[in-house]
Amino acid sequence: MKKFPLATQEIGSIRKPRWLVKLLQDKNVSDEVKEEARSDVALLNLKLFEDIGLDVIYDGEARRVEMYEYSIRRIEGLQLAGKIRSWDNKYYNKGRCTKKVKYTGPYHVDEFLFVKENANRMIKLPITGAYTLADWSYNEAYKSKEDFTIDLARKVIRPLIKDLVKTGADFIQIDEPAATTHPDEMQLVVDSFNESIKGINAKFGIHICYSEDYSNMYPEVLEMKNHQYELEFANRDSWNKGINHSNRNGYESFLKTFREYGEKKEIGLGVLDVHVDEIESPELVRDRILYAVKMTDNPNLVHVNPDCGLRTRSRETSFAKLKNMVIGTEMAKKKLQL
Amino acid sequence: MINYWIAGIYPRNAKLIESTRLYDKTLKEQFKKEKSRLLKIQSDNKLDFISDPLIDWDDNLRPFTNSLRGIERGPLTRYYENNTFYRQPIIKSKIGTSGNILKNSICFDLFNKKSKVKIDILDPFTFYDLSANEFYKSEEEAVNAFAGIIKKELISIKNNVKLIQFNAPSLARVVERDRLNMVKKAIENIVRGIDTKTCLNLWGSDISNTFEEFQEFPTDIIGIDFTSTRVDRFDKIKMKKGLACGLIDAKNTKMEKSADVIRELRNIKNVFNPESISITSSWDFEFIPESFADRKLQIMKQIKEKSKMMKL
Repeated sequence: MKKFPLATQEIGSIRKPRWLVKLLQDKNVSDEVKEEARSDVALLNLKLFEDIGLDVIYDGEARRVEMYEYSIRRIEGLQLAGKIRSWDNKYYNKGRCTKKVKYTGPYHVDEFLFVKENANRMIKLPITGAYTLADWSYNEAYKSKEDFTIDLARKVIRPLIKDLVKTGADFIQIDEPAATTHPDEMQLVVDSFNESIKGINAKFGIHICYSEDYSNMYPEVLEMKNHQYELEFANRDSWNKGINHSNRNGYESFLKTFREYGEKKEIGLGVLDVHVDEIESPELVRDRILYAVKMTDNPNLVHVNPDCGLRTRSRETSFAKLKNMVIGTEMAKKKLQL
Repeated sequence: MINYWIAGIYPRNAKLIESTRLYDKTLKEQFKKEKSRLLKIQSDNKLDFISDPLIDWDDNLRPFTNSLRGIERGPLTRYYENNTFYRQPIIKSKIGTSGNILKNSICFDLFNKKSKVKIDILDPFTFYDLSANEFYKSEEEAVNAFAGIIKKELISIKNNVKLIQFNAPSLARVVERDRLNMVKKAIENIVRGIDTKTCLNLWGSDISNTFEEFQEFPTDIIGIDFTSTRVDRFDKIKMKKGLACGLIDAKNTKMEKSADVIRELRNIKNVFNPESISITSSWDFEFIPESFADRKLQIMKQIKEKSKMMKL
C-alpha cells in the first residue's frame, strides 16, 4: 500500500446549509428537487474541501440525515423508536430491532458514485459499523447482543461493503463511535469488524471517538484487520503549544500504548475539537502532529483529521478549523522536511 | 404492600426536544407545564412516591456543575456505557454550596400537597467519580467534600420530601472493601440528623459479590438493578432493610409482561426476604423515548393492580 505521510482528511459530516434544511422540510417541494439540492450541497462540500487543500475527501454526508439514522432506515428488521438525548439539547433518533436483520440493497452506492465522478482527490467513504448499529439500538429480537451484532456484520454490512467495492470504493472508513463504550466487549467489536470486511480487498479505517481511554482497546484490537484508526484526541488535549507530554496530555496515553505494541497501522489523528467554536491555531495543529510523529517515530503512520464529524459546528467554523488544520499540517511537514 | 416509583430524568417529549433545540423563549413555561403533566401521570399510574421528572436538567450533575463553588465545567464525557454525554465537573478548588441548589432545581411548587415526594441525588462517590479532581489530595477527601455538599443541600429540603434516593451507579461498581467502607462513612455523615427515609440505588452493575457490604450502609432501602444483577446469584437471606427492585428495564423498549415481573418479584421476595419491597425503573427512563416510558409506567400500574389482587 502506498504511504501518504500526514495526509489530511475529513471524518464525515458537515452541517447542512440552512436553506437545504428548510427545503428538505418543505412538503411542497418534490423529491426530485430535494435530491438535486442534496447533490448541489454534496458538490459544494467536495469543492470546498478541495479548495481548503484536504488530501482525502467525501461529500460531508450531504445526503444523510445522520450517520446512524440513515442506516437504520435502510435495514430490514430495524425501525426508529424515537428521540434520545446525546447531550444537552442534542438528540438522535434511536432504532429498535424487532426482527432478524436483512440487507435491502446498497444504500451508499449512489452517493459514492456521485462523489467518484466529481472529486479530484482521494476518496474515503464513511459507513456506520455493525457494532455501533447494535449498541445504539434496542434489541428486542435476538437472544444476545453478540448474535445481533454479528448478524448485522454478516448479513448487512458485509454485502454493503461488497457492493461499494464493486462500484470502485477502495478506502472505507467504518464508523464505530460506540466501540469503546463497553471495554469488556472489545472482542465483539473486533469480531464484527473482521466479519464485516471478510474476503473484501480495500483499505479500511475505523473511526472511534470519545473513549475514556483508547488504550483499553488493547490487546484485542491487534487482531482487527483495519489499516487505519481515525481517533478523537483534541477534545481531551490542552490548548498549549509544544510537543512535550505535559502539553499533549490528550494524546500521550494512546500513543504510548500504540508504540509499546509496535503497531504499524496508520493513525488518523484528531487535531480539531468538534465541540467548541474556538478555532485551533495552525501552530497548535502542527505541535499535535509533531508530537504524534515523535511518539510513533514514523510520519507515514500519521494522518490528520478532526476528532469527529463537524456537523455540530456552523459551516463557517468548520471550514475555518479545517483550513487551519491544513496550514498546521503543512507547517509540520516543513519542520519534518517531508 | 409493594411501593412503586421511578428514578431520575424522564424523557422529554417531541415538542420540548424541539423547543430546547431552538432555545424557545417560552421554554421555562413549557417545562413547568410538562412537569405538572408528568407529575399527574405518575399519580394517575398509582406510583407511591412522586418525583420531579427533571426534564430541565441537561444531565444528572448539571445543576451542581453549574452552581458549586470550586467547580468548572469540563469536557463532554460519556455517561457510563451509554451513547449519552454529560459535562464533567472539574474540581479546581475547595468545593462549596449555598445549600439551595436542589431547592431551586426541583419543582416543589408543582407537587400535589398529598403527594409523597421523592428526590433523586447522586451519592458522594458517584459525584466524585464522575468529576475530574484537580484539587483534593485523596479520593477520601474529595468524597467527604461531596458528602458535605449533599448534606447541606438535603438539610434545606428535607421537610418537603418523604424519600431521598441516592443514585449510585459508580458506587455499584466498587468492589474494594476499604473503599466501600470509606463511602459508607461519608453517607453516615450525610444521613445523620436527617430523619427522612433513604434509598441507596445501586444501578447498572452486578452487585451480587458486594451485597453484604451494601447491607451495612446506613440507608433504609437498597435498590438493586435486576436487569444487571441476577437473583440466582444470591443464597437465601433475611435482608435487614427494604429492597427496591429495578425490574422495569429503563434501557430497552421491549415491554415487560406483568406476569413475568410478578413471577420475578415472588422469586426475589423468597430469596431476599426484605423488610419492605418496591418496584422501580432500573435507571432513568430518559434512555428510552417518551412514548415507551409512558407505556412502561402503565405496565407498572398493571403490575400494582395484579399484585394487589394476588395479595403479594
